Amino acid sequence: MLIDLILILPLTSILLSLLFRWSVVLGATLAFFNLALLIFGIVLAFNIETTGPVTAIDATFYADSLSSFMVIVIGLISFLSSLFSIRFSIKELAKNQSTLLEISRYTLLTQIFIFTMLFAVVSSSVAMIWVAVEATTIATTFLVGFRKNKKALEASWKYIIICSVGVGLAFVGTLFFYFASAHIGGPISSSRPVSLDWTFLIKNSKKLNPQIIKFGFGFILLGYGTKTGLAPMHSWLPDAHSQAPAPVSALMSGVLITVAFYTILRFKAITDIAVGRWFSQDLLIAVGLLSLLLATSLLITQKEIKRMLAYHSIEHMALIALGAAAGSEIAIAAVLLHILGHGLVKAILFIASGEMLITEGSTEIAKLKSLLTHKPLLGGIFGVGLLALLGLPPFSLFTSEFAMMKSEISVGLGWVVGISLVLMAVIFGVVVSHARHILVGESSGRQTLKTSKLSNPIRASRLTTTPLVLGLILSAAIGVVSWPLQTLLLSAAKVISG
Amino acid sequence: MTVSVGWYVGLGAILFSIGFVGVLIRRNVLIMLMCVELMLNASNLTLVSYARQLKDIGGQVDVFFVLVVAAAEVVVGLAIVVSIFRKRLNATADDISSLKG
Repeated sequence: MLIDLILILPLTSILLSLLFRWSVVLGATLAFFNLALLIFGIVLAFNIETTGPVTAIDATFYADSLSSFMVIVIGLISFLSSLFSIRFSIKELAKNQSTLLEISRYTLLTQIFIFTMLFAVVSSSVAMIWVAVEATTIATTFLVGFRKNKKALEASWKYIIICSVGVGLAFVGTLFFYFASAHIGGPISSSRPVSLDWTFLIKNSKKLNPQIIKFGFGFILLGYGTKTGLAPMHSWLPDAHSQAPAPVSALMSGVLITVAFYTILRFKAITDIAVGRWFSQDLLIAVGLLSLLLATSLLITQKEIKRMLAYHSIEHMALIALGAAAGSEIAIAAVLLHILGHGLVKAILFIASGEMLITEGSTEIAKLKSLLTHKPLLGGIFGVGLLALLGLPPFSLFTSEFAMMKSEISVGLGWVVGISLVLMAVIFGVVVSHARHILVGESSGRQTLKTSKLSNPIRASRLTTTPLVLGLILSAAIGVVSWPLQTLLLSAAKVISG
Repeated sequence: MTVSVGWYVGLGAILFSIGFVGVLIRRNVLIMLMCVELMLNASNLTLVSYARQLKDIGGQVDVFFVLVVAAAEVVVGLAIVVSIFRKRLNATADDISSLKG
Protein backbone atom coordinates (compact mmCIF):
# COMPACT_ATOMS: atom_id res chain seq x y z
CA MET A 1 0.00 0.00 0.00
CA LEU A 2 2.79 2.39 0.97
CA ILE A 3 4.69 1.65 -2.22
CA ASP A 4 1.56 2.50 -4.23
CA LEU A 5 1.34 5.81 -2.39
CA ILE A 6 5.02 6.55 -2.98
CA LEU A 7 4.47 6.10 -6.72
CA ILE A 8 1.05 7.77 -6.90
CA LEU A 9 2.34 10.92 -5.20
CA PRO A 10 4.86 11.91 -7.93
CA LEU A 11 2.37 10.79 -10.59
CA THR A 12 -0.10 13.29 -9.14
CA SER A 13 2.61 15.95 -9.27
CA ILE A 14 3.21 15.10 -12.92
CA LEU A 15 -0.52 15.34 -13.64
CA LEU A 16 -0.79 18.69 -11.84
CA SER A 17 2.14 20.17 -13.73
CA LEU A 18 0.63 18.88 -16.98
CA LEU A 19 -2.76 20.42 -16.28
CA PHE A 20 -1.74 23.77 -14.86
CA ARG A 21 0.72 26.39 -15.98
CA TRP A 22 3.39 27.19 -13.47
CA SER A 23 2.44 29.50 -10.61
CA VAL A 24 3.79 30.01 -7.12
CA VAL A 25 0.85 27.98 -5.81
CA LEU A 26 1.71 25.05 -8.07
CA GLY A 27 5.38 25.28 -7.09
CA ALA A 28 4.47 25.28 -3.39
CA THR A 29 2.09 22.33 -3.88
CA LEU A 30 4.80 20.31 -5.60
CA ALA A 31 7.26 21.15 -2.82
CA PHE A 32 4.68 19.99 -0.30
CA PHE A 33 4.19 16.73 -2.23
CA ASN A 34 7.92 16.11 -2.21
CA LEU A 35 7.97 16.70 1.55
CA ALA A 36 5.16 14.14 1.83
CA LEU A 37 7.35 11.78 -0.20
CA LEU A 38 10.09 12.13 2.40
CA ILE A 39 7.62 11.39 5.21
CA PHE A 40 6.22 8.35 3.37
CA GLY A 41 9.79 7.14 2.91
CA ILE A 42 10.39 7.34 6.67
CA VAL A 43 7.09 5.54 7.41
CA LEU A 44 8.01 2.87 4.86
CA ALA A 45 11.37 2.39 6.56
CA PHE A 46 9.68 1.92 9.96
CA ASN A 47 7.18 -0.49 8.41
CA ILE A 48 9.88 -2.63 6.83
CA GLU A 49 11.85 -2.58 10.08
CA THR A 50 8.93 -4.20 11.91
CA THR A 51 7.31 -6.44 9.28
CA GLY A 52 10.01 -7.10 6.68
CA PRO A 53 10.12 -6.25 2.95
CA VAL A 54 6.85 -5.19 1.33
CA THR A 55 5.57 -5.77 -2.20
CA ALA A 56 2.87 -4.22 -4.37
CA ILE A 57 0.88 -5.09 -7.52
CA ASP A 58 1.67 -8.80 -7.68
CA ALA A 59 5.28 -8.25 -6.57
CA THR A 60 6.03 -5.95 -9.54
CA PHE A 61 7.25 -3.50 -6.92
CA TYR A 62 9.36 -4.56 -4.00
CA ALA A 63 10.86 -2.51 -1.20
CA ASP A 64 13.33 -3.59 1.46
CA SER A 65 15.30 -1.40 3.87
CA LEU A 66 17.69 -0.39 1.10
CA SER A 67 14.85 0.80 -1.15
CA SER A 68 13.21 2.72 1.69
CA PHE A 69 16.54 4.38 2.49
CA MET A 70 16.86 5.51 -1.12
CA VAL A 71 13.25 6.80 -1.08
CA ILE A 72 14.17 8.92 1.96
CA VAL A 73 17.24 10.34 0.18
CA ILE A 74 15.23 11.08 -2.99
CA GLY A 75 12.44 12.70 -0.96
CA LEU A 76 14.83 14.90 1.00
CA ILE A 77 16.77 16.19 -2.01
CA SER A 78 13.61 16.61 -4.11
CA PHE A 79 12.07 18.71 -1.36
CA LEU A 80 15.12 21.00 -1.14
CA SER A 81 15.34 21.26 -4.91
CA SER A 82 11.64 22.00 -5.40
CA LEU A 83 11.77 24.76 -2.78
CA PHE A 84 14.58 26.46 -4.68
CA SER A 85 12.75 25.81 -7.95
CA ILE A 86 10.10 28.32 -6.80
CA ARG A 87 12.70 31.05 -6.32
CA PHE A 88 14.44 30.07 -9.56
CA SER A 89 11.19 30.20 -11.57
CA ILE A 90 10.13 33.57 -10.13
CA LYS A 91 13.53 35.07 -11.03
CA GLU A 92 13.54 33.54 -14.52
CA LEU A 93 10.11 35.03 -15.24
CA ALA A 94 10.95 38.40 -13.68
CA LYS A 95 14.11 38.74 -15.76
CA ASN A 96 12.30 37.55 -18.90
CA GLN A 97 14.92 34.85 -19.39
CA SER A 98 12.28 32.18 -19.84
CA THR A 99 8.64 32.18 -20.86
CA LEU A 100 5.90 30.79 -18.65
CA LEU A 101 5.61 27.82 -21.01
CA GLU A 102 9.30 27.02 -20.65
CA ILE A 103 9.05 27.17 -16.86
CA SER A 104 5.96 24.93 -16.93
CA ARG A 105 7.84 22.42 -19.08
CA TYR A 106 10.82 22.60 -16.76
CA THR A 107 8.56 21.84 -13.77
CA LEU A 108 6.92 18.91 -15.56
CA LEU A 109 10.24 17.36 -16.59
CA THR A 110 11.65 17.74 -13.07
CA GLN A 111 8.67 15.87 -11.64
CA ILE A 112 9.00 13.11 -14.25
CA PHE A 113 12.68 12.91 -13.33
CA ILE A 114 11.82 12.41 -9.64
CA PHE A 115 9.22 9.78 -10.53
CA THR A 116 11.64 7.74 -12.66
CA MET A 117 14.21 7.68 -9.84
CA LEU A 118 11.56 6.43 -7.38
CA PHE A 119 10.49 3.83 -9.92
CA ALA A 120 14.07 2.60 -10.14
CA VAL A 121 14.46 2.06 -6.40
CA VAL A 122 11.16 0.23 -5.80
CA SER A 123 11.12 -2.02 -8.90
CA SER A 124 11.64 -5.69 -8.23
CA SER A 125 12.79 -6.69 -11.72
CA VAL A 126 16.30 -5.73 -12.79
CA ALA A 127 14.98 -5.12 -16.32
CA MET A 128 12.50 -2.58 -14.95
CA ILE A 129 15.30 -0.90 -12.99
CA TRP A 130 17.16 -0.60 -16.29
CA VAL A 131 14.09 0.91 -17.97
CA ALA A 132 13.75 3.42 -15.13
CA VAL A 133 17.43 4.44 -15.25
CA GLU A 134 17.20 4.95 -19.02
CA ALA A 135 14.03 6.98 -18.44
CA THR A 136 15.94 9.31 -16.08
CA THR A 137 18.25 10.12 -19.01
CA ILE A 138 15.28 10.92 -21.22
CA ALA A 139 13.68 13.16 -18.60
CA THR A 140 16.86 15.09 -17.82
CA THR A 141 18.32 15.69 -21.29
CA PHE A 142 16.04 18.65 -21.96
CA LEU A 143 16.66 19.93 -18.44
CA VAL A 144 20.41 19.95 -19.10
CA GLY A 145 19.74 21.83 -22.35
CA PHE A 146 17.35 24.24 -20.61
CA ARG A 147 19.33 27.37 -21.57
CA LYS A 148 19.27 26.36 -25.25
CA ASN A 149 22.58 28.11 -25.90
CA LYS A 150 25.62 26.55 -27.54
CA LYS A 151 27.15 25.20 -24.34
CA ALA A 152 23.90 23.84 -22.93
CA LEU A 153 23.08 22.03 -26.18
CA GLU A 154 26.56 20.59 -26.29
CA ALA A 155 26.27 19.37 -22.70
CA SER A 156 22.92 17.71 -23.38
CA TRP A 157 24.27 16.09 -26.55
CA LYS A 158 27.24 14.65 -24.67
CA TYR A 159 24.95 13.60 -21.86
CA ILE A 160 22.51 11.64 -23.99
CA ILE A 161 25.12 9.95 -26.17
CA ILE A 162 27.51 8.92 -23.39
CA CYS A 163 24.76 7.87 -21.00
CA SER A 164 22.88 5.93 -23.67
CA VAL A 165 26.00 4.01 -24.64
CA GLY A 166 26.72 3.37 -20.95
CA VAL A 167 23.20 2.29 -20.14
CA GLY A 168 23.23 0.17 -23.31
CA LEU A 169 26.27 -1.67 -21.91
CA ALA A 170 24.41 -2.08 -18.61
CA PHE A 171 21.60 -3.73 -20.58
CA VAL A 172 24.05 -6.26 -21.96
CA GLY A 173 25.14 -6.92 -18.37
CA THR A 174 21.50 -7.44 -17.39
CA LEU A 175 21.21 -9.92 -20.29
CA PHE A 176 24.09 -11.97 -18.89
CA PHE A 177 22.36 -12.14 -15.51
CA TYR A 178 19.10 -13.08 -17.24
CA PHE A 179 20.81 -15.81 -19.22
CA ALA A 180 22.36 -17.25 -16.06
CA SER A 181 19.12 -16.99 -14.12
CA ALA A 182 16.69 -18.33 -16.74
CA HIS A 183 18.79 -21.48 -17.06
CA ILE A 184 18.09 -22.49 -13.48
CA GLY A 185 14.37 -21.84 -14.04
CA GLY A 186 11.90 -20.03 -11.81
CA PRO A 187 8.94 -21.52 -9.96
CA ILE A 188 6.42 -22.31 -12.70
CA SER A 189 3.45 -21.95 -10.37
CA SER A 190 3.94 -18.21 -9.81
CA SER A 191 1.49 -15.96 -11.64
CA ARG A 192 4.24 -13.83 -13.14
CA PRO A 193 7.70 -14.78 -14.39
CA VAL A 194 10.41 -14.11 -11.88
CA SER A 195 13.76 -14.93 -13.49
CA LEU A 196 14.67 -11.23 -13.67
CA ASP A 197 13.46 -10.42 -10.14
CA TRP A 198 16.20 -9.30 -7.80
CA THR A 199 14.77 -11.42 -4.95
CA PHE A 200 14.88 -14.52 -7.16
CA LEU A 201 18.41 -13.74 -8.32
CA ILE A 202 19.76 -13.21 -4.81
CA LYS A 203 18.02 -16.33 -3.45
CA ASN A 204 19.47 -18.53 -6.18
CA SER A 205 22.75 -16.72 -6.66
CA LYS A 206 24.75 -19.79 -5.59
CA LYS A 207 23.35 -21.71 -8.55
CA LEU A 208 24.23 -19.04 -11.14
CA ASN A 209 27.08 -19.80 -13.51
CA PRO A 210 30.05 -17.78 -12.13
CA GLN A 211 31.70 -17.26 -15.53
CA ILE A 212 28.61 -15.64 -17.00
CA ILE A 213 28.08 -13.54 -13.86
CA LYS A 214 31.67 -12.26 -14.10
CA PHE A 215 31.05 -10.96 -17.61
CA GLY A 216 27.70 -9.59 -16.53
CA PHE A 217 29.05 -7.64 -13.56
CA GLY A 218 31.84 -6.16 -15.69
CA PHE A 219 29.27 -4.75 -18.09
CA ILE A 220 27.02 -3.62 -15.23
CA LEU A 221 29.85 -1.74 -13.50
CA LEU A 222 30.95 -0.04 -16.72
CA GLY A 223 27.36 0.71 -17.76
CA TYR A 224 25.78 1.97 -14.57
CA GLY A 225 29.20 3.38 -13.65
CA THR A 226 28.74 5.77 -16.57
CA LYS A 227 25.57 7.07 -15.00
CA THR A 228 27.29 7.20 -11.60
CA GLY A 229 30.05 9.36 -13.07
CA LEU A 230 32.83 6.84 -12.52
CA ALA A 231 35.85 6.76 -14.83
CA PRO A 232 36.40 6.00 -17.67
CA MET A 233 32.96 7.20 -18.87
CA HIS A 234 32.59 10.20 -16.56
CA SER A 235 33.04 13.01 -19.08
CA TRP A 236 29.34 13.88 -19.40
CA LEU A 237 29.07 14.72 -15.70
CA PRO A 238 30.91 18.06 -15.34
CA ASP A 239 29.26 19.44 -18.47
CA ALA A 240 25.75 18.35 -17.57
CA HIS A 241 26.04 19.47 -13.95
CA SER A 242 27.41 22.87 -14.86
CA GLN A 243 24.92 23.62 -17.65
CA ALA A 244 21.71 22.43 -15.98
CA PRO A 245 19.72 24.92 -13.86
CA ALA A 246 20.83 24.80 -10.21
CA PRO A 247 17.80 22.87 -8.83
CA VAL A 248 18.33 20.20 -11.49
CA SER A 249 22.08 20.03 -10.78
CA ALA A 250 21.16 19.51 -7.14
CA LEU A 251 18.91 16.58 -8.04
CA MET A 252 21.38 15.07 -10.52
CA SER A 253 24.37 15.32 -8.25
CA GLY A 254 22.44 14.62 -5.06
CA VAL A 255 20.45 11.56 -6.07
CA LEU A 256 20.60 10.58 -9.75
CA ILE A 257 24.19 9.37 -9.65
CA THR A 258 23.64 7.54 -6.38
CA VAL A 259 20.50 5.83 -7.73
CA ALA A 260 22.77 4.42 -10.46
CA PHE A 261 25.21 3.31 -7.77
CA TYR A 262 22.34 1.71 -5.84
CA THR A 263 21.79 -0.50 -8.91
CA ILE A 264 25.48 -1.47 -8.93
CA LEU A 265 25.16 -2.41 -5.24
CA ARG A 266 22.21 -4.71 -6.00
CA PHE A 267 24.18 -6.52 -8.68
CA LYS A 268 27.26 -6.62 -6.46
CA ALA A 269 25.28 -8.55 -3.85
CA ILE A 270 24.42 -11.24 -6.42
CA THR A 271 27.96 -11.33 -7.83
CA ASP A 272 29.55 -11.62 -4.37
CA ILE A 273 27.65 -14.83 -3.66
CA ALA A 274 27.96 -16.30 -7.16
CA VAL A 275 31.65 -15.55 -7.76
CA GLY A 276 33.15 -14.45 -4.44
CA ARG A 277 33.81 -11.02 -3.01
CA TRP A 278 37.32 -10.67 -4.46
CA PHE A 279 35.96 -10.16 -7.99
CA SER A 280 33.76 -7.11 -7.39
CA GLN A 281 36.37 -5.83 -4.93
CA ASP A 282 39.14 -5.76 -7.55
CA LEU A 283 36.93 -4.11 -10.17
CA LEU A 284 35.57 -1.47 -7.77
CA ILE A 285 39.05 -0.59 -6.50
CA ALA A 286 40.33 -0.14 -10.07
CA VAL A 287 37.39 2.03 -11.09
CA GLY A 288 37.38 3.96 -7.81
CA LEU A 289 41.09 4.82 -7.80
CA LEU A 290 41.03 5.81 -11.48
CA SER A 291 38.05 8.12 -10.87
CA LEU A 292 39.65 9.63 -7.79
CA LEU A 293 42.88 10.35 -9.70
CA LEU A 294 40.96 11.91 -12.60
CA ALA A 295 38.78 14.03 -10.34
CA THR A 296 41.82 15.33 -8.45
CA SER A 297 43.84 16.19 -11.53
CA LEU A 298 40.93 17.96 -13.24
CA LEU A 299 39.70 19.74 -10.12
CA ILE A 300 42.90 21.78 -9.95
CA THR A 301 42.20 23.69 -13.16
CA GLN A 302 38.53 24.53 -12.62
CA LYS A 303 37.45 28.15 -12.96
CA GLU A 304 33.74 27.82 -12.33
CA ILE A 305 31.94 26.84 -9.13
CA LYS A 306 29.44 24.41 -10.61
CA ARG A 307 32.11 22.56 -12.58
CA MET A 308 34.24 22.39 -9.45
CA LEU A 309 31.30 20.90 -7.56
CA ALA A 310 30.74 18.42 -10.40
CA TYR A 311 34.30 17.11 -10.13
CA HIS A 312 33.68 16.83 -6.41
CA SER A 313 30.80 14.51 -7.25
CA ILE A 314 33.16 12.25 -9.19
CA GLU A 315 35.54 12.29 -6.22
CA HIS A 316 32.80 11.27 -3.80
CA MET A 317 31.45 8.57 -6.11
CA ALA A 318 35.00 7.21 -6.26
CA LEU A 319 35.16 7.16 -2.44
CA ILE A 320 31.81 5.36 -2.35
CA ALA A 321 33.08 2.78 -4.87
CA LEU A 322 36.16 2.19 -2.71
CA GLY A 323 33.98 1.85 0.38
CA ALA A 324 31.75 -0.65 -1.42
CA ALA A 325 34.89 -2.57 -2.41
CA ALA A 326 35.55 -3.30 1.26
CA GLY A 327 32.15 -4.98 1.27
CA SER A 328 31.60 -5.64 4.99
CA GLU A 329 28.33 -4.70 6.64
CA ILE A 330 29.83 -1.65 8.34
CA ALA A 331 31.43 -0.56 5.06
CA ILE A 332 28.14 -0.73 3.16
CA ALA A 333 26.35 1.12 5.99
CA ALA A 334 29.03 3.83 5.72
CA VAL A 335 28.58 3.91 1.94
CA LEU A 336 24.85 4.51 2.42
CA LEU A 337 25.48 7.22 5.03
CA HIS A 338 27.88 8.80 2.54
CA ILE A 339 25.19 8.68 -0.15
CA LEU A 340 22.82 10.57 2.17
CA GLY A 341 25.43 13.04 3.44
CA HIS A 342 26.90 13.75 0.01
CA GLY A 343 23.45 14.18 -1.53
CA LEU A 344 22.39 16.65 1.14
CA VAL A 345 25.56 18.75 1.15
CA LYS A 346 25.93 18.72 -2.63
CA ALA A 347 22.31 19.81 -3.09
CA ILE A 348 22.90 22.66 -0.61
CA LEU A 349 26.03 23.80 -2.46
CA PHE A 350 24.41 23.64 -5.90
CA ILE A 351 21.42 25.60 -4.63
CA ALA A 352 23.76 28.15 -3.02
CA SER A 353 25.59 28.49 -6.35
CA GLY A 354 22.22 29.01 -8.06
CA GLU A 355 21.47 31.77 -5.57
CA MET A 356 24.88 33.31 -6.33
CA LEU A 357 24.02 33.32 -10.01
CA ILE A 358 20.85 35.25 -9.14
CA THR A 359 22.44 37.73 -6.73
CA GLU A 360 25.97 38.10 -8.17
CA GLY A 361 25.23 37.35 -11.81
CA SER A 362 28.01 34.80 -12.16
CA THR A 363 29.38 31.53 -10.83
CA GLU A 364 32.89 32.03 -12.16
CA ILE A 365 35.43 31.86 -9.37
CA ALA A 366 37.46 34.82 -10.70
CA LYS A 367 34.43 37.12 -10.73
CA LEU A 368 33.29 36.30 -7.21
CA LYS A 369 35.15 38.03 -4.44
CA SER A 370 34.69 38.74 -0.74
CA LEU A 371 31.26 37.17 -0.73
CA LEU A 372 31.46 36.88 3.04
CA THR A 373 31.51 40.67 3.54
CA HIS A 374 28.64 41.68 1.29
CA LYS A 375 26.49 38.54 1.54
CA PRO A 376 27.42 37.11 4.96
CA LEU A 377 24.66 34.50 5.15
CA LEU A 378 25.00 33.11 1.62
CA GLY A 379 28.79 33.22 1.84
CA GLY A 380 28.64 31.52 5.22
CA ILE A 381 26.41 28.73 3.90
CA PHE A 382 28.73 28.20 0.94
CA GLY A 383 31.83 28.16 3.13
CA VAL A 384 30.40 25.80 5.72
CA GLY A 385 28.99 23.61 2.94
CA LEU A 386 32.44 23.30 1.37
CA LEU A 387 33.95 22.36 4.73
CA ALA A 388 31.24 19.70 5.12
CA LEU A 389 31.99 18.44 1.60
CA LEU A 390 35.70 18.20 2.35
CA GLY A 391 34.82 15.82 5.16
CA LEU A 392 35.51 17.90 8.25
CA PRO A 393 33.80 17.00 11.51
CA PRO A 394 31.08 17.34 12.78
CA PHE A 395 29.40 16.79 9.41
CA SER A 396 28.19 13.35 8.41
CA LEU A 397 30.66 13.04 5.51
CA PHE A 398 33.45 12.87 8.08
CA THR A 399 31.73 10.03 9.93
CA SER A 400 31.08 8.05 6.76
CA GLU A 401 34.54 8.60 5.24
CA PHE A 402 36.15 7.60 8.53
CA ALA A 403 34.02 4.45 8.78
CA MET A 404 34.65 3.50 5.13
CA MET A 405 38.42 3.89 5.50
CA LYS A 406 38.44 1.95 8.76
CA SER A 407 36.68 -0.99 7.15
CA GLU A 408 38.94 -0.77 4.08
CA ILE A 409 41.95 -1.12 6.39
CA SER A 410 40.31 -4.01 8.25
CA VAL A 411 40.02 -6.05 5.03
CA GLY A 412 43.66 -5.36 4.15
CA LEU A 413 43.19 -2.45 1.78
CA GLY A 414 45.41 -0.05 3.69
CA TRP A 415 47.26 0.94 0.51
CA VAL A 416 43.98 2.08 -1.06
CA VAL A 417 43.30 4.27 1.98
CA GLY A 418 46.83 5.70 1.71
CA ILE A 419 46.43 6.66 -1.94
CA SER A 420 42.98 8.15 -1.43
CA LEU A 421 44.16 10.19 1.58
CA VAL A 422 46.98 11.72 -0.47
CA LEU A 423 44.60 12.62 -3.31
CA MET A 424 42.03 14.00 -0.88
CA ALA A 425 44.70 16.20 0.68
CA VAL A 426 45.43 17.69 -2.75
CA ILE A 427 41.72 18.32 -3.29
CA PHE A 428 41.53 19.91 0.16
CA GLY A 429 44.27 22.38 -0.71
CA VAL A 430 42.75 23.30 -4.06
CA VAL A 431 39.25 23.81 -2.70
CA VAL A 432 40.42 25.84 0.29
CA SER A 433 42.34 28.21 -1.99
CA HIS A 434 39.29 28.62 -4.28
CA ALA A 435 37.02 29.13 -1.28
CA ARG A 436 39.36 31.74 0.21
CA HIS A 437 39.21 33.67 -3.04
CA ILE A 438 35.42 33.53 -3.26
CA LEU A 439 34.71 34.25 0.38
CA VAL A 440 37.35 36.69 1.59
CA GLY A 441 39.34 37.63 -1.54
CA GLU A 442 40.09 41.36 -1.59
CA SER A 443 38.00 43.27 -4.08
CA SER A 444 40.70 45.11 -5.99
CA GLY A 445 40.36 46.93 -9.31
CA ARG A 446 37.48 48.83 -10.77
CA GLN A 447 35.73 45.87 -12.36
CA THR A 448 34.93 44.05 -9.14
CA LEU A 449 33.77 47.24 -7.54
CA LYS A 450 31.40 47.83 -10.43
CA THR A 451 29.95 44.35 -10.34
CA SER A 452 29.49 44.40 -6.61
CA LYS A 453 27.72 47.74 -6.85
CA LEU A 454 25.46 46.35 -9.52
CA SER A 455 24.66 43.18 -7.70
CA ASN A 456 24.26 44.49 -4.20
CA PRO A 457 20.57 45.46 -4.50
CA ILE A 458 19.60 41.81 -5.11
CA ARG A 459 19.61 40.12 -1.75
CA ALA A 460 19.74 36.44 -1.05
CA SER A 461 16.20 35.23 -0.46
CA ARG A 462 15.12 33.82 2.91
CA LEU A 463 13.24 31.17 0.95
CA THR A 464 16.62 29.87 -0.19
CA THR A 465 18.82 30.44 2.81
CA THR A 466 16.56 29.08 5.58
CA PRO A 467 16.25 25.53 4.16
CA LEU A 468 19.97 25.53 3.38
CA VAL A 469 20.90 26.43 6.97
CA LEU A 470 18.50 23.76 8.25
CA GLY A 471 20.04 21.28 5.82
CA LEU A 472 23.55 22.00 7.09
CA ILE A 473 22.36 21.59 10.70
CA LEU A 474 20.75 18.28 9.71
CA SER A 475 24.00 17.14 8.09
CA ALA A 476 25.92 17.98 11.27
CA ALA A 477 23.26 16.29 13.41
CA ILE A 478 23.48 13.09 11.39
CA GLY A 479 27.25 13.22 11.81
CA VAL A 480 27.09 13.54 15.59
CA VAL A 481 24.10 11.41 16.59
CA SER A 482 23.16 8.80 14.05
CA TRP A 483 20.93 6.69 16.31
CA PRO A 484 17.63 6.84 14.42
CA LEU A 485 19.49 6.14 11.21
CA GLN A 486 21.83 3.49 12.53
CA THR A 487 19.22 0.71 12.59
CA LEU A 488 18.05 1.58 9.10
CA LEU A 489 21.59 1.86 7.72
CA LEU A 490 22.64 -1.48 9.19
CA SER A 491 19.56 -3.37 8.02
CA ALA A 492 19.91 -1.79 4.56
CA ALA A 493 23.57 -2.80 4.52
CA LYS A 494 22.59 -6.36 5.46
CA VAL A 495 20.57 -6.54 2.22
CA ILE A 496 23.81 -6.08 0.27
CA SER A 497 26.49 -7.69 2.42
CA GLY A 498 24.32 -10.73 3.26
CA MET B 1 15.34 -26.06 -41.53
CA THR B 2 14.60 -24.14 -38.36
CA VAL B 3 16.62 -21.15 -37.29
CA SER B 4 18.15 -21.95 -33.91
CA VAL B 5 18.59 -19.41 -31.13
CA GLY B 6 22.34 -19.28 -31.77
CA TRP B 7 21.77 -17.46 -35.07
CA TYR B 8 19.68 -14.78 -33.39
CA VAL B 9 22.24 -14.29 -30.67
CA GLY B 10 24.99 -14.16 -33.29
CA LEU B 11 23.09 -11.55 -35.26
CA GLY B 12 22.55 -9.59 -32.05
CA ALA B 13 26.27 -9.68 -31.28
CA ILE B 14 27.19 -8.50 -34.80
CA LEU B 15 24.67 -5.65 -34.71
CA PHE B 16 25.85 -4.62 -31.25
CA SER B 17 29.48 -4.53 -32.38
CA ILE B 18 28.59 -2.47 -35.46
CA GLY B 19 26.74 -0.02 -33.21
CA PHE B 20 29.50 0.19 -30.62
CA VAL B 21 32.30 0.65 -33.17
CA GLY B 22 30.12 3.17 -35.00
CA VAL B 23 29.69 5.36 -31.92
CA LEU B 24 33.44 5.28 -31.34
CA ILE B 25 34.67 6.06 -34.84
CA ARG B 26 31.91 7.97 -36.68
CA ARG B 27 31.83 11.75 -36.29
CA ASN B 28 28.44 12.54 -37.81
CA VAL B 29 26.06 13.19 -34.91
CA LEU B 30 23.07 11.58 -36.64
CA ILE B 31 24.98 8.40 -37.43
CA MET B 32 26.24 8.27 -33.84
CA LEU B 33 22.68 8.44 -32.60
CA MET B 34 21.65 5.65 -34.98
CA CYS B 35 24.54 3.53 -33.76
CA VAL B 36 23.39 3.89 -30.14
CA GLU B 37 19.94 2.80 -31.24
CA LEU B 38 21.48 -0.18 -33.04
CA MET B 39 23.25 -1.23 -29.82
CA LEU B 40 20.03 -1.10 -27.81
CA ASN B 41 18.02 -3.01 -30.38
CA ALA B 42 20.71 -5.65 -30.81
CA SER B 43 20.57 -6.30 -27.06
CA ASN B 44 16.79 -6.38 -27.32
CA LEU B 45 16.94 -9.02 -30.03
CA THR B 46 19.17 -11.13 -27.81
CA LEU B 47 16.79 -10.73 -24.87
CA VAL B 48 13.74 -11.78 -26.87
CA SER B 49 15.48 -14.79 -28.43
CA TYR B 50 16.67 -16.06 -25.04
CA ALA B 51 13.23 -15.45 -23.58
CA ARG B 52 11.61 -17.42 -26.39
CA GLN B 53 14.06 -20.27 -26.12
CA LEU B 54 13.50 -20.53 -22.38
CA LYS B 55 9.74 -20.02 -22.80
CA ASP B 56 9.91 -17.14 -20.33
CA ILE B 57 7.03 -14.78 -21.05
CA GLY B 58 8.46 -12.17 -18.64
CA GLY B 59 11.53 -11.54 -20.78
CA GLN B 60 9.34 -11.17 -23.85
CA VAL B 61 7.18 -8.60 -22.09
CA ASP B 62 10.19 -6.64 -20.86
CA VAL B 63 11.26 -6.20 -24.48
CA PHE B 64 8.31 -3.86 -25.03
CA PHE B 65 9.33 -1.60 -22.18
CA VAL B 66 12.89 -1.52 -23.47
CA LEU B 67 11.63 -0.68 -26.97
CA VAL B 68 9.55 2.19 -25.61
CA VAL B 69 12.40 3.86 -23.69
CA ALA B 70 14.85 3.25 -26.54
CA ALA B 71 12.46 4.94 -28.96
CA ALA B 72 11.84 7.82 -26.56
CA GLU B 73 15.58 8.23 -26.14
CA VAL B 74 16.19 8.50 -29.87
CA VAL B 75 13.42 11.12 -30.13
CA VAL B 76 15.05 13.22 -27.43
CA GLY B 77 18.44 12.74 -29.08
CA LEU B 78 17.07 13.84 -32.44
CA ALA B 79 15.53 16.94 -30.88
CA ILE B 80 18.93 17.90 -29.47
CA VAL B 81 20.60 17.25 -32.84
CA VAL B 82 18.03 19.45 -34.60
CA SER B 83 18.67 22.25 -32.10
CA ILE B 84 22.41 21.93 -32.67
CA PHE B 85 21.95 22.09 -36.44
CA ARG B 86 19.82 25.20 -35.98
CA LYS B 87 22.65 26.93 -34.14
CA ARG B 88 25.26 25.99 -36.75
CA LEU B 89 25.23 24.16 -40.03
CA ASN B 90 27.15 20.96 -40.77
CA ALA B 91 27.92 20.05 -37.20
CA THR B 92 30.11 17.03 -36.57
CA ALA B 93 30.96 15.74 -33.14
CA ASP B 94 34.39 17.37 -33.41
CA ASP B 95 32.80 20.81 -33.77
CA ILE B 96 30.76 20.33 -30.61
CA SER B 97 33.69 20.83 -28.31
CA SER B 98 33.52 24.14 -26.50
CA LEU B 99 33.24 22.39 -23.10
CA LYS B 100 36.56 20.93 -22.07
CA GLY B 101 38.42 19.89 -18.95
